[in-house]
Amino acid sequence: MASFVEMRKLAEAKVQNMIRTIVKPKEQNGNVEPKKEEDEKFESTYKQNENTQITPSSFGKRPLYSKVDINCDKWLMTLDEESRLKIDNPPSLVDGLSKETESELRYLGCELIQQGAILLKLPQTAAATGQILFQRYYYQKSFVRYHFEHAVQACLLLASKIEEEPRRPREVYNVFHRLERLHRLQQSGHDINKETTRGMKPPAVDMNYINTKQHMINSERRILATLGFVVHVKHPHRLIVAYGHTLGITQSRPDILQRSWNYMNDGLRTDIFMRYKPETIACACIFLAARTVENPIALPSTPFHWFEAFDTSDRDVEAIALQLVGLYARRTFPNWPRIKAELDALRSVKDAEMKAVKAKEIAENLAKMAPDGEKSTSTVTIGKDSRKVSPDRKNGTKDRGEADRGKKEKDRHRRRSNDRDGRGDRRDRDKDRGDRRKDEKKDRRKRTRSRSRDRKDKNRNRDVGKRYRKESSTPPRSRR
Amino acid sequence: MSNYSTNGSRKIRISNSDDDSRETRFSIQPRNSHKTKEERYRDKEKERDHERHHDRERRDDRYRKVDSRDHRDRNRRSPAGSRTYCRDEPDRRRNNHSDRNRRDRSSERDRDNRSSKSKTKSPDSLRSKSSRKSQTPNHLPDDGKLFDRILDPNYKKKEKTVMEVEDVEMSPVEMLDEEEVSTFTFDDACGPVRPSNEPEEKDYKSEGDPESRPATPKTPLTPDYLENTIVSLNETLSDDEDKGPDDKYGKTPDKEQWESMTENEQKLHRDAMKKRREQRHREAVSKLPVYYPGLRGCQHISEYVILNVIAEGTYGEVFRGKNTRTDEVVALKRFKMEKEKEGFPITALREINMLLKAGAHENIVNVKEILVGSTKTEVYMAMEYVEHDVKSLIDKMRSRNQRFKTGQQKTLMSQLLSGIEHMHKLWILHRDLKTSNLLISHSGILKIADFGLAREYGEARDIEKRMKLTPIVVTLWYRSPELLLEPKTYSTPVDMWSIGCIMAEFIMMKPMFQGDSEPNQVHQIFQMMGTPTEQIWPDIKELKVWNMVEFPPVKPGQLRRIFKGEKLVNETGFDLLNGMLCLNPANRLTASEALQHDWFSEHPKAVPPEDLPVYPAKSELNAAPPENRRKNRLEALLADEEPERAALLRQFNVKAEQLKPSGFQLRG
Repeated sequence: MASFVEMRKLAEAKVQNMIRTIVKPKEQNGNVEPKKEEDEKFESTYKQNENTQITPSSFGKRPLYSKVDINCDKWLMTLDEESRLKIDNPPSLVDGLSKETESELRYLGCELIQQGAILLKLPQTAAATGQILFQRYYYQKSFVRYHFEHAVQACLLLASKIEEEPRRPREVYNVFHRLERLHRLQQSGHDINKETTRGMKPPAVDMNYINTKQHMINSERRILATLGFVVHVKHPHRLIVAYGHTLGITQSRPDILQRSWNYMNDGLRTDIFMRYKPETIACACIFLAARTVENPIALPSTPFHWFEAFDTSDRDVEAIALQLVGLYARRTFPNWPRIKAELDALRSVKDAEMKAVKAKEIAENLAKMAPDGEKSTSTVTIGKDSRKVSPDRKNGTKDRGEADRGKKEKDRHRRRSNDRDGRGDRRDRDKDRGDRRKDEKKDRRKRTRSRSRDRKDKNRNRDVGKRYRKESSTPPRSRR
Repeated sequence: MSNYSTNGSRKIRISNSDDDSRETRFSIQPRNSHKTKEERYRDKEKERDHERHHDRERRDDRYRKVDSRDHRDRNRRSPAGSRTYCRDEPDRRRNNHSDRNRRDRSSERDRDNRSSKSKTKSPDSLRSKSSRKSQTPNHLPDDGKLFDRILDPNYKKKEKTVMEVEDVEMSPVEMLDEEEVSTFTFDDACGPVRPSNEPEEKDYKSEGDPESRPATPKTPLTPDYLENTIVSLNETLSDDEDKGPDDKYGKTPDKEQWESMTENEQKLHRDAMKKRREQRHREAVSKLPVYYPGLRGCQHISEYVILNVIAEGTYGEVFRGKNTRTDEVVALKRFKMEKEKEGFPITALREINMLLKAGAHENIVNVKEILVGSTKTEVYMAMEYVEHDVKSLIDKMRSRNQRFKTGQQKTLMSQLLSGIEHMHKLWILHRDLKTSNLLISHSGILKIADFGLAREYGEARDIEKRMKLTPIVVTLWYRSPELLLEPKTYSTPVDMWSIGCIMAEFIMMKPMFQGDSEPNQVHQIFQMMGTPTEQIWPDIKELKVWNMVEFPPVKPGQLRRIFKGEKLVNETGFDLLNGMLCLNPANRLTASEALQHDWFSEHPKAVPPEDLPVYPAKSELNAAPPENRRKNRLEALLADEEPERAALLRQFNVKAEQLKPSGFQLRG
């Protein structure tokens, strides 16, 4: 009894002095946990060889990489062995998507970006940038888990910013909406002309727009993080003109330049931009154009091929030429609704598996809870005490700094929980229409929460104080 | 397909306009230039006795470009060139005028030359000049690369050697610093080895002199060159040291041998063992794979530990952080993501792209990494940590009534100009050059920072029309007169004016134009430089404000009175300053022209960067005390308490004084 009384006194003293120390390590541990797994994977492969020779840092960690190379031209997927394997086996295949459907999706996405760029009146360099970002993104992520409709819109938005012709999300949404309708018209067998498109109007600002905009913005951030913010693309457009000039083609044979230009733009739908340098691609386009134009010409090939002066090998030139020629073997446009249905089916399977896993976890937790009832109650009490802790305003700058960090960590927790809810909502929407109303209500709640987040630091301090005051009022009631 | 063809045709038209100018340039070059380049290349191969380094390669590239320019000038002056290509004439006239300016430096002659300039030039020629200037840097590096590859049959082999060198150089800078310290201590420690080193050192010095003479007959001792000599000196010293200890201290001795040794020998062995460990560490690290964020994505911010806050402001927060795996200290800049309506802000994206595109240059702040927080709304940029900014340095020196010496001024200016030259070659405008955006490290290396307003500018007139650059850029005190008078387009001269103001600030230790508003700024500039006329600056008609406001006529000469009257600079330095602060942007010096100015090769020459004044950094003063002190204090307080109470107090991390009696009582 005496020790219990002392415990209470200490807890009260702690609360009164507003020192938060228990909360931080828990949050820190929570943050670090997901990273530990990844770190362990990396360390396990290298520790075996270099563990003893590499001196650990003052934090007890060893470097995993010799350096971080973030130069703006270090994004070709042939730089790294793992990335090279991803080109042949993109991550979508692991989730059950067939290779043909995967390539169809890539083609469809690139085509939509190209058409969207035309409707948005973006320069061709922006269209090329958008398509390359789209391709790079889906060699790192799966089509099943990340919706390609959102990625297409996000790539258009991002490319317009990169090429200094920014467009607003509203404009991108309108264009995408129109493209979707036009494709439906085509699939249903109608021709696209003034009569059939007379009824099309820009969509109204409704819940659908707000949701799509949020998805677009989230997808944009995800794309930037996945590509490491290395998003500057060097295009072969200028190189084709320069090489054509050195070969003496520019004035005598403008048709060859035009055709090589077209080959390059069409080649954006293949993976050649992931494998080869822009110099190599420019040479291959000129090579192919010179042979397939109406009056083909023989470019110099003795004693060496002309493109070897630009540090290009004939193997690469032939490989690229074959891919470009294969591109025109396609005769039908991808069937958007069928592909969408296939993706939805795969997603529903994934959701079912996830639910099964969660159910198992819940069952295991319940089984564990039964024999350890007493311990669980004690942990609950500790949790309650931790909630009462609030920032201490009277202490000096040091404590304030700590408090600020604590606030940030709390915000991170809130955001995580919100993100999780968001994912669940997305899955639920796809299944049932009847739940849309409920989803709308949830969305409204989210907005209020998000708005509350945007408040200034002063407001945050006030809110925290209010909570503390409310919580502090409970002990006297319990005492009474 | 029709859409593609229209776009293609339009772009081809744009390219056709470029082709004309390109034809002239390519055809101007005679075939003999190939041979001369081959000969020079062979000579340079012979000169390269020591291992190659990036810095030397950079220096060589610069000189090659210089040579190629000389060739072009000669070709243009030939009579055949004058007959077939009449477009080159304005360039000739300009070159002649610039030569005359340099030769005749009296004020009267300057005025005469200016009047003669105005007579000969027309607005069309000025436009063509500006367009040609902007186009030239695009071609030079390509030509250089092509010729190098063609002339060098063993290009592939050398490429491998270059890669190896890169790996070695990528080791952390702190390790190199430790090396230097350890080498000096080694020299001090081992007395008997000194006489054997001395003749070899002399040999190196004698070898170094002839190398420097042919390579740099006129150019000053730039910090790159100095660092090369320092690195090579360290290498020779280390080689000498390695020979000795390899015989004696190459292996770790047994316990019996260790006990029998003297203290000095034990120290030598320990030093040798330390070096071997460090070398093994570096080799092991260099064997690890390279991380490409472009392929694997951003790493998490938990890779770094935040030490303290360096700066806060409207642009965001900057922290000082430490890498948990390499103990490297970096500056972590956090981007503000408050306005999320339009997605990721274009300003942040632009800044990141400009910095990544600028790449690795010694005088530009390098981006190490870009990191993401738990939620992807938090984005951090890890840059190399530089301790001071030039503005605070100047303020401290002024408070102590100190000034930069002429050699120090040359060191700072040469570093600044080489950084800007690098950016302008990559088609990047900085647009916010001022002393608070120039950082300077403890070792005296100046770095250009804050690419928030940096922009990529166009090369052709059509592109310039499409990209409308806002005129409201650059801090007011460093804004150029054409920006203040609202132009439609502008280009690299905008940065050169800012550099001129910075040079004046290095000399006078205070900003030269301190206007409190835009009209006042223009007024101060014209008071100092003289009011421009349409003869001096023909394009001034096209500026908005010039047509709206009448400026009182002021004669030029105030700048000379201030600087020459008080003997702040000599004639050559004033010439450089005057060239950068020329009112007509078409006549203003470019970065490469300024770097080749005679001022840098005159006596007194540039000082090595280490000799620049150094003060403790702001962030270091405000650093929080380490946590160990707090723990010690707590334990000291707890020593007086009972063991049981002490345990409880530790658990809750509370002091005994903080306990208060509670009015609560239990009822039986």
